[in-house]
Amino acid sequence: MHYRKTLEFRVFSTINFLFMALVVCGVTLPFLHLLAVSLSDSAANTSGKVRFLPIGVNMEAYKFIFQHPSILSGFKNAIVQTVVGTLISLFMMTICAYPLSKPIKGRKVMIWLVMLTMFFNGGLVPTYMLIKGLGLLDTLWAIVLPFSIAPYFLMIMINFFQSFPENIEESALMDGLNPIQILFMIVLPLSKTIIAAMSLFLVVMYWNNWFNSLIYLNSPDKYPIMLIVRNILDGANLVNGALTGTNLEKLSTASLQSAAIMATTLPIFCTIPFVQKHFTKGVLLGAVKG
Amino acid sequence: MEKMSITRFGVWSRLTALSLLVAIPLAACGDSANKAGSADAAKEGGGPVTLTMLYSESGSPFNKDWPVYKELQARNNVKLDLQVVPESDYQSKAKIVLSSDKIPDLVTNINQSNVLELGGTGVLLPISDYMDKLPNLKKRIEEFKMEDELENWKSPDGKLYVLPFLTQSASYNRSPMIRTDLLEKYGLKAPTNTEELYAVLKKMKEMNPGSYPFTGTSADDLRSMWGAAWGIEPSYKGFVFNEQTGKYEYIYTSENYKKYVTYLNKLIKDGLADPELFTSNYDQMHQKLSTSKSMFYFFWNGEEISNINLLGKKNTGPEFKMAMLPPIAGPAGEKALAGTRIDRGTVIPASAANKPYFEDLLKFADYLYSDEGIDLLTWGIEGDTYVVKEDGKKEFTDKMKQSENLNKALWDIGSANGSFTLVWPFKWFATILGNEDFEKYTEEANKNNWFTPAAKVPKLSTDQKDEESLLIAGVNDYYAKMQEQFVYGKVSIDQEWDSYVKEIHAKGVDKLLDVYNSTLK
Repeated sequence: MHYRKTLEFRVFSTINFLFMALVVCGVTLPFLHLLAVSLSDSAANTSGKVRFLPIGVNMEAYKFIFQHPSILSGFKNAIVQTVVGTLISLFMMTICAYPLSKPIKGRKVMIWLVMLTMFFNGGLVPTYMLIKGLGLLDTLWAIVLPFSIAPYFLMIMINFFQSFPENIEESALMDGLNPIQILFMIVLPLSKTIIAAMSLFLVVMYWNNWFNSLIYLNSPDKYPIMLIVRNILDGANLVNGALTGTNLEKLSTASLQSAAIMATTLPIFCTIPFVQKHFTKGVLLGAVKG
Repeated sequence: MEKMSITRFGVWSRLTALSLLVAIPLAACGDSANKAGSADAAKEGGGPVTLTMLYSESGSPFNKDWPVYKELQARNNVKLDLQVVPESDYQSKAKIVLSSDKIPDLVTNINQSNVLELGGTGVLLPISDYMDKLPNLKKRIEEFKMEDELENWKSPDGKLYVLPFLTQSASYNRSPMIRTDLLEKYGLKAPTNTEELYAVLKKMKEMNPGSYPFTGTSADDLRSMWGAAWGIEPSYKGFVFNEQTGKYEYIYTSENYKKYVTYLNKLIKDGLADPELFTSNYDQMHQKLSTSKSMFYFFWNGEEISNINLLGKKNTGPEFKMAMLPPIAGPAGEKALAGTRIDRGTVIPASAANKPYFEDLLKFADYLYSDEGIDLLTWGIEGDTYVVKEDGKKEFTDKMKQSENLNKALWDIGSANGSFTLVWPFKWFATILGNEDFEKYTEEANKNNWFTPAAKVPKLSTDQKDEESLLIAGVNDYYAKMQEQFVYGKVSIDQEWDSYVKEIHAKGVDKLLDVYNSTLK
């Protein structure tokens, strides 16, 4: 390990370190700033003095958000939507992608049909009427079933399965497993990388999605947190008076927005450590190497 | 080997797909059957009729236990079944619901363009055909002298398809505002016209060299609040009906509009107006005003005054005082834009006419316009939230007066509701706002004719609407781009004005004029 001592290496590692530190700052500093803003009083925020330390510390913004009667059910609904949606999506995409990765009849047509939905769809009103006709309106299923297959992610999965070594599957078949068993007992356990990557994408997708809930749900007690927070924030400027009757000395639009961002992104942050170890192996890298 | 595996894959994937296809509709059927059953039961029992409604959630979060909401249902013997939609996205959801085949009995908060768009299509109930069953609405329209304004809400067939939200009186709720403490300090008089304003801004700049005295948030907002004084507001998308010639004209190529951009350009050139006059957001604007980087702006003044003073006292000092002014007179004189007295409405689907409870639906709608209904939905519950004094005047009870904020307190009992309260009396509104200037200036405005009447909206058929929407975006983009370049001095007004006028006419103004004028025949 003598190269560690060379000048080049030291220069390289210093620059490397500085560059990485810069990247880390680029990611964390905005969050620190938001945290500071969310805790500062309104005079400090409107004067633009707040950087990374809060001025006039108070929790009014968080209080305002968490006082909303639907906030707890919002969190609960968002978690249910995310978990159920991700599981259904994973299942649907796996059983869709795996057969499509095999040279079956009509494969090209089917892939083409899936691709088509990336660019064309029936439009909002027909989709709404379809979901209404199916009787899914105002149920969890309206959110998690119709949109469970994301074509772009499906393509990635098909590519991954295609590069899966055929020999393994063949030997399993010789050992008497049927295709379903091969998929669930042999292929999936060896595909954790792609499953982890997909899970993360899907979790973020479902967590952030408020629009489908807005359109297909009718009861506020079914709304996810994003929709509720969106409504709080939309009303949260001094113009239309949703801040009416609150402590304006401590609470401002800026602090409220920052608090909302903190409150809604933290839960999603918490999922990253669980999938990160799979992620370090690379998303598409694994697909190529098999 | 290979072949065998293929067929087996095929069978299995088909089987799984099939089982899923079967499972979903089954689950769905069970659900909808249950719902339909319970709804029918409610109707048959002779008890309250169930009315469905698309509700826009604003103010306080909806609560079915609001005393006013319960009282409203009890007094009308109805049961309301609400679909609560957050206000932030209400319009998009309402549009989808109105395009679907099953529309709730009442859809609130529909704006003018959507009402006019849907009016002729047969989706909505022609309210004007049922005026004999809506005596209170009729009375209210006559009492407030709303006929002229209501004309703009009627479809080309002359029918009204909406239950309008009525604001009793135009109010002086958008105005110029200035730091009166600085006026006093520098020995200046409050500006009343554009020349005086220029002098005042100049002095303020002199005394505060780093400042940009005049700030704002957007070009459209500024024009809408100050345009009346320049004779360029109100308009329908930039078009105004000229009573003398009996034709529509495009106002953003007029001499007055040229004067307006020239004036703003001068302010920018001399450093008197904020380089971000058209681009600041509310927070940035409040920051500039409260830290004395700017001293003058046009804004919706309601609660703004107390908010900005609170922030200013903290950031600048206890002497900070922002106050509203009468209109700054321009070429058109001392004029202010009246907030339109009808800005949205509730619609009923045409299909409701066949429902067994149609009469009850109309009765409920009419109740919202009745004296009793208005009192309930604005003042709340007699004895509890307000009392009627001997002279007939109403007053809020101490419980309400002592609340931190009267408006919020009303929201929390279900009153002053953005979906149910269809009539907004002026005296009540002024009481809530509690700003003496607001009441004083509104009275003066009515006396001195500051308010300009609403612009005449052309009655377009569906085809004409399509043609309009094809053209208007291009015209508006070009107008907005050129306005900015004129004001910021990127393009010389003297040299480029004629080519601007020519270009915008070619971009679609000529054709739009043809469309609008053809509706007059």
